Amino acid sequence: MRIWTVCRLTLVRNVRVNPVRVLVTVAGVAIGVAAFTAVRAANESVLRSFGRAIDVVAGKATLQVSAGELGFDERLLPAVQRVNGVVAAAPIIQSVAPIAGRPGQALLVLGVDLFAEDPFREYRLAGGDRPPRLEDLLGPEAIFVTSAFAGENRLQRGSSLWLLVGSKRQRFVVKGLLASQGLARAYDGNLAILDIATAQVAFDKVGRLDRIDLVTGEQGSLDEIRARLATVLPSHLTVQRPDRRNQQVEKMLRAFRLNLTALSAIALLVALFLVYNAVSLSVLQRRRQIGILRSLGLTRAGVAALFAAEGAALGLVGSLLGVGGGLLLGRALLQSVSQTISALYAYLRVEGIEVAPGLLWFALGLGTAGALAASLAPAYSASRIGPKEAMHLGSFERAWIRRSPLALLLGLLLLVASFLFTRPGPVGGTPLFGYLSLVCLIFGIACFTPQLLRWAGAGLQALCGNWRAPLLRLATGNLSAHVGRNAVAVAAMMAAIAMLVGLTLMIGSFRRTVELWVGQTIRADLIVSPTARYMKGSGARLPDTFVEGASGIGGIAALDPFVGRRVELLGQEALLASGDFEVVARYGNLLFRRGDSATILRRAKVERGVIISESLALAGGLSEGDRLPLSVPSGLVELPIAGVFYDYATDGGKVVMDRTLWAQVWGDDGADVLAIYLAPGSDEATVRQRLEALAGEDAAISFTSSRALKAKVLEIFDSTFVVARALELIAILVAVLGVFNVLWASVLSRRREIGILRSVGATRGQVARIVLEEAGLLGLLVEVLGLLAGLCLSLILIHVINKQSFGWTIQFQFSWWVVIKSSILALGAALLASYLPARRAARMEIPAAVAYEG
Amino acid sequence: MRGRDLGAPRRASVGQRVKIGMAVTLSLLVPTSTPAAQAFRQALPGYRFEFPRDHASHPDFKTEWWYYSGHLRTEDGLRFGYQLTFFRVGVDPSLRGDSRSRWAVRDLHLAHFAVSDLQQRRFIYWERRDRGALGSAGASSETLKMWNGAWTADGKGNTHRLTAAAEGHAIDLTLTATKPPSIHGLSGVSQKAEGAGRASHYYSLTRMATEGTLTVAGKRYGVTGSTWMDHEFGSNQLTPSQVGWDWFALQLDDGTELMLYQLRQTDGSPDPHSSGSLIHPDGRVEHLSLRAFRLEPHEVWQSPKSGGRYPIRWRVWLPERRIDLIVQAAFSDQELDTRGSTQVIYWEGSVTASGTANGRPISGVGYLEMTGYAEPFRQPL
Repeated sequence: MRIWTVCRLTLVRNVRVNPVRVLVTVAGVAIGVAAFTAVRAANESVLRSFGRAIDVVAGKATLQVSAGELGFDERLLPAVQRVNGVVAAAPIIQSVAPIAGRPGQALLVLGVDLFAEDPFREYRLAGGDRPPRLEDLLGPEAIFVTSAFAGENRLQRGSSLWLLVGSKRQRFVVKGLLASQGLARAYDGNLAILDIATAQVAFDKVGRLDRIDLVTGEQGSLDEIRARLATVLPSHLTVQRPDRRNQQVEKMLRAFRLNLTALSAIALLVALFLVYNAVSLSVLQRRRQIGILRSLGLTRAGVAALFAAEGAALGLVGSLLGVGGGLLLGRALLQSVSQTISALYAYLRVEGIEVAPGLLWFALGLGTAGALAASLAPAYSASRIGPKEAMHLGSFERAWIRRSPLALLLGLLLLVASFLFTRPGPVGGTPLFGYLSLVCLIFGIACFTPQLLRWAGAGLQALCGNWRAPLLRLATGNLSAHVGRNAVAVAAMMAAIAMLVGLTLMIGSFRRTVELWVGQTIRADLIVSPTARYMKGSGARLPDTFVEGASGIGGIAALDPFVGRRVELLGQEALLASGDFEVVARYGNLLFRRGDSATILRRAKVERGVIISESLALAGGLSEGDRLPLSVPSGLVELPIAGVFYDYATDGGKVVMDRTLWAQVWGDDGADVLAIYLAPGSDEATVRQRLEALAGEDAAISFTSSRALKAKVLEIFDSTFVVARALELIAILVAVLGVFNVLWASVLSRRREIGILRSVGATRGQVARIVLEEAGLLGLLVEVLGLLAGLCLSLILIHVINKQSFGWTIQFQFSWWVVIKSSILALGAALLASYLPARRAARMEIPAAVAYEG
Repeated sequence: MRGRDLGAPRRASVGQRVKIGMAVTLSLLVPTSTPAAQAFRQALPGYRFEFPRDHASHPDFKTEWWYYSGHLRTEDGLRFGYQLTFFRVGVDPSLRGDSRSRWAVRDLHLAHFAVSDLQQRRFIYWERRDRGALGSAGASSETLKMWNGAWTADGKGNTHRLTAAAEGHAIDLTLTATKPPSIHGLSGVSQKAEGAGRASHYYSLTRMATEGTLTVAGKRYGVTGSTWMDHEFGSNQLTPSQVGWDWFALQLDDGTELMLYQLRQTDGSPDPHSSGSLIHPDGRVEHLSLRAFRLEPHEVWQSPKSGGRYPIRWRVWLPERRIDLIVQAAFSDQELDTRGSTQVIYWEGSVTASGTANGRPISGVGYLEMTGYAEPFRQPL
């Protein structure tokens, strides 16, 4: 028999005979693949855009000297220039400056010495623009922006540009437009160039540099030159290759990205259940056909290949659609993902979706291969059908019933494995075993479904017999009589509901934990900070005069000046910060892992120690009483760790010291932010007015009440879970399609039965009711299993995945709301999915139905 | 009288993309009539040179340069030309205001280093620019001491030491002046155009015995030879109507030296303020006005890179002094095409001279600089 003829008679015909099932399955795969592609594409675009920005900003530099956001004394430059192997050294001031009056918009501002830039970067003016004169470059307000930025903001030569610099609005004058190439394309054109002298004054960094870029020569390997540089530099400065920053960002975002990818993988997994389900139904429905084909000489392998091909074809078409849809969806996700990263990690502007063709092929391959794999089991079972058996319906179901105890056992084993996988620690910073545990959990519970369906069917039938409810009895009979068909649909839907429940519980617990933390730790009445600080990387501070003046204002009980700088610590990015420990001890509160806040803070102040965040303690294997090695301008110091505190503001880790120690170590006694505690009886509005008057008119300083701050923390929190919630909905959508498929097939295969029921007097309504009831029972089972699995899922997410990825301790918080929500969803989805099948069943013409020989 | 600040610097043609940093360097060297220029002292008649004080930097003038060019011979008889120049360009003080930043620009320091291999007919050059923020470049106003990165010139008495290195090429030379400084022009000023201040203060050490080492493509040679040093400072010497210039510095074997420049105007004629000096073996300087000499281009070489057409063979004729010379480029391609960076295109290279003086045969070596031939001049806006 020609293979093409077989395919035409089977696969192609299948589309005509079962258009709905094919359509639904393809749609399910498409959605799953789209979700996966979208998340990967968005993540990849973010990383690429980041990488390229870092690349072009680094230019031809082979090494970079920096001290994170702390900066360093510019007088180190000549020593660096003299090091053997350094061909050129360029000083850099780098900062993020929000655009005044345009919330959410900012420029990456580079202060450079253009006369020293040739070996590093190319700055080309847009075509037709006249070359700048010296005064254009060196004037105190001179700035160069990209032509893309100028176009969007209707700027031209001579236009004013107001930026939030430090804690004031500052005017710059556009002196030229950079052509859209190289450097000017970084951050989607949101980049500006200043002369370094102007930048030092504007950003209050006179005498300081943020970075020195180096071009190195042939005098030794990079590592040798690095080693030579280390001998002339204080130990708190790092000398790194520019791509190291890239790796750092990648590392910083790894957990965040992996979480999203894992969620999207669940959507894909649910879609594969759907394929399994569809091919199983197809096998079931075409037993006669299989028998005939086998009689005509088609081998067992041929039959298996036929059904595997069906699965693969469904997967291929679905994946093709999914990849296309994923790119569109990715574009929508990108905005949300990049906003989250800008708010939590580092300044980022993404140009648009861009993915390597490899990813698209991978998604296509994954969807197709996954579908093929999902269809292997039904294909195999089809191949076991002999020509004779094929004529007996029900032997397929008998096989399922025979195997269901075995599946139960396998499920138990998987659950044990899932439990064991929660034990090991992270692998290379990622909770690899945690994810394995999740997979085992879902599959384990999925394995329970055949046996549970049988038990539920039998139990309910017994009950129905007692209740004298013949229709319900018919529905429950279907449940256990078609275990094979139903089990997969239940499992798929269960996985989706489990994901919903697990995520909801995790996010809810997390949110509640953060809420409690915010409530207990934000005690200050008023937070005063430069407006520019809402952007990561602005490095904005309050003016010294303001800080001094504020302490003299009436109605204030105490001030806590806060300073925070991002630096590299223990191989990861961390925030090095200081506050007034005495003030925090008396008026504030921190949540420590062990011990009382005031006692620990006072001891830290006296012993010249530090307190560190939980995530840093976990990452560095540090605990109370250990010493934290810290490179400071005077050399390497080891500071005692007085306490480990919970902190949900950053996952990069935090080290805080008292401001007297900070001033000694860094020679800096200013403040980035002031936390103000009001004197009893004084009025917040009055104090605020006085502070505003002190700040002056040009100031870009924000005054935030503690209530507003708490709300803002939660707002940021919520925005970071937008994508997760979207993925959750996608998984449910796919699962609903699965239930629909099953019920539709159920109605089709029972045409004869329905016809008989109708001919013995069942009304259309009664027939529809049987279908609806069957759906309801499936939904109920799904809900029970999903709730159970979801509960376990949330525990794994909280105690394994989140803990290992971000180092946060989250207090588990059960909510009845999730039970209500998921019940409505599970039952609602099942009933919704049964609407069309029920209608179809009800509308069947009796003679045709009875004549059907399914 | 040499350097980049004449007409040569020009903007790229419209539509072409311009590199910022470089273009800025250019605009520094372009004659300006803005009030900025008035912030600097003008070169006015009556200036009295005083040495060694005037070897040092004069930061109250806007532009200043020290220009060393010479010929070297290795022990094996290989011959090379070299050029090392330090420029200082003062920046309008109003631009830096009262900035506390060390990077606020007071002077911009430029330097050029070139080597001509007369055997291989190979010409190679480098340049540096530095604002000298942390002492990385500068010029002392006390003594003769200029530095730009690792390129340095250091003078003590009659002896100057020069060092420069770039990409396997280097010089480390000790120069000893054999004649006193030759002051060009009249009344202490070398007039460049009509108008007060359109002038510079200009002197030369026309013959400096030179010895030291020269490294060419990684190979080091002991060398001896002779160097010409120019030092010139002024504030606003040129006018926009000047399109370029031809400048000659010749060391003749009868112990005299000849410095001649002609400023070419838009209509092709030399500016009447073109002039020169004849330095006698005893160091006496004779001023030569435009009437006293004639410069006739004889053979033109077209640069394949820039398309510029340079006269590389000249008749240099001083009828009254009965000097008649043919000056010939040692080889044709000694063009500096820095459109990729400073956007200056000029020809500066080693030449030989031969002819007669007072009827007797005479020969010599020298340096020739020609600007304004590569592109039609366009005054920067």
